[in-house]
Formats: sequence, structure tokens, C-alpha cells
Amino acid sequence: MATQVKLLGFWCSPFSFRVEWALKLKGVDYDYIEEDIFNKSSTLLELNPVHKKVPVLVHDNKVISESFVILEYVDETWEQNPLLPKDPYERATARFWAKFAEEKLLDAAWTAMWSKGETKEKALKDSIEALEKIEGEFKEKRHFEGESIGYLDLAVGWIAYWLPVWEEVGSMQIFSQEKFPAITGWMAKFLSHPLIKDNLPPKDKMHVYFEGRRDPIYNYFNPKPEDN
Amino acid sequence: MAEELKLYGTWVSPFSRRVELALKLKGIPYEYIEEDLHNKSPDLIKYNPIHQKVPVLVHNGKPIVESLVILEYIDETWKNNPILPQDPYQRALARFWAKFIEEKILPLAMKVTNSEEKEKEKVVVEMFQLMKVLEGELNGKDFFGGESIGYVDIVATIIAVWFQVTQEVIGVKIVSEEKFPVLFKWIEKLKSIDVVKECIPPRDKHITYVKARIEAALLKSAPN
Repeated sequence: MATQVKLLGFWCSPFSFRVEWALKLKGVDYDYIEEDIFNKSSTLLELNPVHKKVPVLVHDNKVISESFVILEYVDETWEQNPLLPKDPYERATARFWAKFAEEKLLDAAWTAMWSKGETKEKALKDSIEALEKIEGEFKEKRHFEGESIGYLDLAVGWIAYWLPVWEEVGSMQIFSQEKFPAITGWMAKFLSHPLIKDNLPPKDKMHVYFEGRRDPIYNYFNPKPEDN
Repeated sequence: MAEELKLYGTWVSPFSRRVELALKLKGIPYEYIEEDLHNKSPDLIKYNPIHQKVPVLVHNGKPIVESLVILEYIDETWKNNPILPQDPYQRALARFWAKFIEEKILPLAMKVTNSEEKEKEKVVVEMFQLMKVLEGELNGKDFFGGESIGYVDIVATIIAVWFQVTQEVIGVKIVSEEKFPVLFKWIEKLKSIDVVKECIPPRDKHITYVKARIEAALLKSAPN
């Protein structure tokens, strides 16, 4: 029976790119469906009623959402080119760092991009602290050695490509080559991987998009008091 | 080589008791070390330098932290009495719901406890909505795991036990029999399982503990 794989995504979402990278690494054919996240389709709302977000993977009749959950599903369903290592302790380590980067770095960096004043200061500080811890892990474990990329690389891939854009849009600096040599080495390897370098959103369009999001998001969280 | 397994936890942490439940379900012997989080042991800091929290599972000298990561490690290392289903799609669903509890329900529950009166009502309504969604997942089954408890049930013990205690103390009832009959039944069934009973804090001690914490928090935020 022919298998059918569909991916609902958004053209500059780091979360939907994670899944695309995983599918491409495993050589899985899929239909990509671009969602307008500002005008969500009835299909998306039907497939992911709980979160109403992308990415959503549809494999035959099975619907999976949440990018990390999808990555593990993809890894368990298509066993070629494994994303996670075989050893349970190494798997636990990869999952730990993916979670850490998501919870401590990504949220903070995103917030730092659109916020102002004290909120921005704190988010920046948190981002830098989190990146320092990731640098420590990359230095020790030398993830960037070896030819293949896996779960953790896909989970933190956004650092190599989205973070520089957010830094510019947010007029801030979190990353620097001098301070983060291990991550710098990893970034170069990641971005030059044949399946990654040809599967990235256009940077100029990204700048325009995130620039356009910054102030509306700030205003959403800081509504102006109504005039009398 | 003799297996060495240690669990650093606290009697009242829902996260460390989850791990205990998983170990007991699989009949895995382990050494339990009670941590005083106001006076963290050098071992805890050594094994979990990033978060310095419980639970920490140390298996033959190697530490694993973050309760959901530990649960998966346990399931992959000791294959008897599986916690997660075998099928990849069922596993994905289990992980999805565990994440939903952890990332949506738990933070909102904290907001219920910590929010001011005027905000509380709005937050409680949101909680009801999330709990309804979760209840829907039981869908005629005894447990989230089916006929016996599994990964989601283990993760959800925080709702079955810890939420109930906090709600009693702060006088806000979220999971009532009238509003959530299916969830209520699940809670009763879960709490009647012997091995689950072994992994729940003693009720009176738990209530006293939560009362003291809430009072301390109120004192901290009280105007001078």
C-alpha cells in the first residue's frame, strides 16, 4: 500500500523546518502544505484542534503534532538514518538538551527580540546564560564531530539560522564567535550539510517578516490604555 | 557488574514520585535519597548542575534528569511492563498528551494558585477548558494507558493527587465530580492501585505542607 505523508507547515517556522529536515534526512517523500498561520485553514483547525499550530504531520490516517513528538515518530517509523542514538543514556542526553534549548533559550531569545525595557534586558540575560550552558555541552560532547546530523542538531538548528535574524530585528546580541567557539564550529557544519543548506527559508524575506512581527507582538502584550 | 541505581527526590515532589512509580511498576530495585531542597546535597548539585532539581536518577554513576526524560530512559532500559505503547503512533499520542499536561495544564494550575482574585476567575475558566480536553482523551477507557496505567497516567498523577490537595487548601474546586465525571472516576481508579498509593505523599502531611507554602508566599507579597 502506498504510504501518504503530508506536512502542514509555515515557510519560516523553525518548528516546521525541523520536521522537513528529518523527513529529507530519511528520504521520506511528502506533500508540503503551506499554512497561513494568520488565517488558519479549516484543515489545520480540524487536524490540530488542541493547539491550532503547525507543524502537523499526517501519515496515512494518523495525525501527529508538536515538532519534538513528530521527530520521534518519524525516527521510529522510518528506521533508516536514525536521528536518535541507540544507547538509552545518549538518547536521554539528546532529549535533555533539546528540551533545555527549547525552554531556556528559544523562548527567551524570541521574547528578547520583540520586547523592550526590563523585559528585554531579562530575556537577553536569560538567553546568554542558556547559550553558555549549551556551549559547555557542545564543547564537552563535541556534537559537531562526525558526518551525520541527528535529533539534537535538528532540535537546535534554529540557532544557526533564525537566531541571527532575531538578533538583528531585536537590535541585540546573544551569540558571538569569540564567546561561543564550539557552537560556531557546529553552526558551520550544520549549515553546510547538503540536506540543510538547500532547505532553509530565504533570509531577506525572513528579515521582512520578523521585522513586521516585532511591534505587533509587543503591542499585543502591552495594550495601550483606552482613552477616556 | 552489579547494577547501581539511585533516585534523588523529595516526598512531596510530583516529579520525583512519578519516577518512583515507574520504577515500582517495573519492579526495579533502587536506592532512594531524600533531598532537602533548602539545603541541596553536593551530590544533587554534581549530578544536576544545570537545574539543581529533583528528580535525578543515577544509573551506574550516570545521571539522568527531567522527569519525562527519565521515564523514557527507564522504559528503554528495563523493557518489562512497558510504560509507553509499542506502536509509534500510540507512542506519539502518549507523548503529545504528556506534553499537554506538562506545558499547558501545569503552568495554568500554578497561575490559579498564584493569581489575584480578579484574575483568578478568568484563569479558572481556562483551566476548565483544558481539563475538558484532557478528559476527552479517556474516551471510555479505564486509564489513559488503556486497561492498565501507562505513561500519561503516570504523568497525570499530579492532577489526580497534587491538584486535589492544593484545591482543598485554596478553596478552588477544579476537578469536581459534577463537572468532570469521567476524570473523577479515573482519579478514584488510579488512587486505588496499591503501587500508586505507595507513591503519594501522606495526605495530612501534604495538606500541612501546601498550607505553609501558600502562607509563606502570601507573607512575601503582602504590602508593608
